[in-house]
Amino acid sequence: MHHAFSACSAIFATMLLLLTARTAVSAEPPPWPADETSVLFCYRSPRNIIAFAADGTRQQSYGVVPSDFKAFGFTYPEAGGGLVLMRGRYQAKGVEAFLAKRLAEAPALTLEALFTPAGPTAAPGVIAAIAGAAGNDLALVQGPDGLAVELRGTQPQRHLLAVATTAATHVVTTVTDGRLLAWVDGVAQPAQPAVLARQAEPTVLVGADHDGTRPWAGTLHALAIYARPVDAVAHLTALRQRLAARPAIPRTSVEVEAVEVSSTPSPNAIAPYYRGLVVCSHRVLRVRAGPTPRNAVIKIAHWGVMGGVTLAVKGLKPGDRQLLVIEAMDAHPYLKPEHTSENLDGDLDAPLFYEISGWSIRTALTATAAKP
Amino acid sequence: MRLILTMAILAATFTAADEVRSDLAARAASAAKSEALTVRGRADWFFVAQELTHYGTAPGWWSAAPADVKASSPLEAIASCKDNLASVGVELILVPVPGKVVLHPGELAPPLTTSADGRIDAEERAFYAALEKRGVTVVDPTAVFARLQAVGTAPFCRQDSHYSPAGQQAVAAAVAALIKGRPWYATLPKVPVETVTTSVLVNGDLALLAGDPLPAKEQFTVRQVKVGAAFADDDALAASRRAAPLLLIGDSHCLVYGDATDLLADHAAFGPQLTAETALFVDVVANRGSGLNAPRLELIRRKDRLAGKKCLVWLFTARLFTQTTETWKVLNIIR
Repeated sequence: MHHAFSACSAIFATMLLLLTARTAVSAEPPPWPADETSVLFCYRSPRNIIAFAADGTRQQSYGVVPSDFKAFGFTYPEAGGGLVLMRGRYQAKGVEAFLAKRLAEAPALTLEALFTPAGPTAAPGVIAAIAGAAGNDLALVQGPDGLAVELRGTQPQRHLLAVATTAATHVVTTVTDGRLLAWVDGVAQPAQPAVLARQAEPTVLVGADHDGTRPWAGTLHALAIYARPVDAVAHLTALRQRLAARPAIPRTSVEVEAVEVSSTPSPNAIAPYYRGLVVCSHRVLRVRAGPTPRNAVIKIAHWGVMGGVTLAVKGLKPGDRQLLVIEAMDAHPYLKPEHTSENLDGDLDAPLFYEISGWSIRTALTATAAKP
Repeated sequence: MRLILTMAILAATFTAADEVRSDLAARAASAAKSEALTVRGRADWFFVAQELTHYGTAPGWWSAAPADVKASSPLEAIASCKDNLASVGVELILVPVPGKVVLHPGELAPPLTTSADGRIDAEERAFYAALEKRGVTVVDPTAVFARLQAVGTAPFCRQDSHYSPAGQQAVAAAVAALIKGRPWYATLPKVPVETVTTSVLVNGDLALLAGDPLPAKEQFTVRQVKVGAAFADDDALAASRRAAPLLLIGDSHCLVYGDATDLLADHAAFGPQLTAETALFVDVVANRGSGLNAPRLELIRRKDRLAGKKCLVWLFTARLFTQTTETWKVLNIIR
C-alpha cells in the first residue's frame, strides 16, 4: 500500500497544488488566445481543439488522440480541460493537411504550452513538438536537467530553459529571424542564435517523439502554435485565470479495501475501442483528505484497458487495500460513454466514483517498465 | 405425396440454414485463429468477426438458461425490463440493429451463400416474435435497411462496424413513427429543430483495426441537428436532455456520428436524429461496446424511477445477444 502511495504521490501532490491554486470561480474564463491573428493551432481542452486557416476561418480538430490506438499509450481528459499523458504519442486528428500547409509556410513559429510534469524524470520526454518524418523541427522537452527547446535546424540544437518542477509551468518559445526567444512563467530567458528547419508535411505531436520514443508523463492544460511572437506575460495571466475558473470538483483521498471486482475484458474483447473502465466496489477504511463518502461501501471506476493493454485492476482481489484519489463520477460526464465493465452483485445503487489517481494505469506501466 | 414434398422442402431449408451457420462459424473461427478482430470482405468491405460468430451460433441462444446462475437469457432480461418499466408507465422499444452481414452477405469474401429466402437471421426473427408475445415492442430495422438497399442506398458503412448515416436516419424515422403514434406524444411541448448536412471523409473503425493497407476513405453526408442556436447534443442543453420524455440507452449505435474523435462525425448521433424526427429532446445513456448492463446500472444510480420519462428506446447491435463482454442480467431499473 505504501508503495502504491509513493507511486501516485507526485501526481496527487500536483493535483492538490492545482486545486489549491484555484481562486475565484467565474462563469466565463477569459479568452485565450485573446488575439487569434496568426494562430495556427490551439488546444484548450480535449473537446476544444482548433486549427486556424490563413483567412481566420477555423477547422475543429477531432481531438488529440493516440497516433496508433493499439500503441502502449494512455491518456484521459482531466475534468475541466487537461490531458493527462502517461506514455505514448498523440497527435491532432482531422486537421492534418490543413495544419501542415500553415506550419510549413509560417514566417516565424511560436510554441506555447501550459503543463504540469508528473515529476522529475531520468530520461528526456517530449511534451509537444512540431514534427515530420525526419524528426522534430521544434520540440519542448523535459529532461533530467530541466526543460529545454530542441531544434533540428542544420544541426541539432538544444537550449536549456529552466529546471522542471511538479507545478503548472508556462513556456513560450519563438524562433524568428535566426533567434530563439523563450519565456518560462512569464520570465524572459536570454535570446540565443537558432536555425529552424522546415519539413514539407509537419504536424503537431504531444507526449513523445514522432517515432514514439522519449515518452513524457504529465498533464497538458493548454497548447498553441502561432506564426508570430506573442506577449508571454499576457498569455500566462489569461491561462492562469482560465485554470482558476475551472469548476472545483470535490476530491477525496481515501484508503479502501476491495470488496467485489468486476471482470476486466481483454483489449481484443472491447475493440475497436482502445480503452475501458472497470467498476469495483470498495469498503471505505479511512478518509485522508476531502469529503467522506456517505456509504461505507462505494463503487469506483478504474481504467481497466488502455492503449490495447490490460491494466492492474485485472489483478485486484477482494481484500486488497489501496490508497486512491477519487471524484464523483457525475463530475466526469465525458467518461460515461466509455466502455464500462460492471458485473457486481452488491448494492446496485451505491454511489460511483472515478479513480483519478491513475493507480491502475501507473501500476501496469511500472510492471511493464520492469520487464527486460 | 404433398406432405412428403413439404417435409423434403422443410428439411432442405433447415439444412441450408445449418450450412450457412456452419460457414459463418468457420469463417469466425478462422479469424479467431489468427487473432483477427476484423474480417476483410470483397473490395473495401470489412466485417466484425464477432458478428460472424453470432450468426454462426447454434439456435436457441435467446431462451437457453445460461450456465452462470447470476445471468439470464436475453429473453428473460429484456421481457423483465419491459415489465419493470411498465410498472411506472414507461414503454420499452427494443431496437436491435442487425449485423452488416445480414444485409450484405454477398460482400464477404468469398460471398456467403444464403438459404432460399436470402436471410441468415431466422433465429433473431424467432426471438423477436417471442419478445412480442411477451409484450415487448421490437423495431427490427432489417426491413427498413432492405428498402434503402432497394433504392441503391447503403444502410451500413463499408469500413466501419456501424450503420451508415442513411441507415441510422431510417431507423430513427421508424422509431419516431411509433412514438408519434402514442397518445402522450401529442400532449408534449415540441422544440424548434433545424438540421444541417455536412460531409465527412473517414476510414471506419474496422479498416483502422485491420491496419495497412488502408482503403480510400468513405464519404458520408451526416445530418447535424440543432435545437434553437445550439446543437442538440451541446453541453448547454444538458439539463433539457436530462428532463426529456424520451430516453435512449444502448451501445455505440447510440453514439456514432456524435464524436468525431473515434465515432466518425460530430452532432449527428442517434439521439439528435430522434430529436429531428420527434421535435423532443432525448436523454441519452450509452456506452461504447457495453450497451446492455452499464446504461441500466447508470439509470439505477439516478434513483429517480425514470420520473418524467414516457418511453425508453434500447438500441444496440444484435450481435450483443451472444457476443458481449457483459452478461445478460435481470436488472430492475425501477426499485
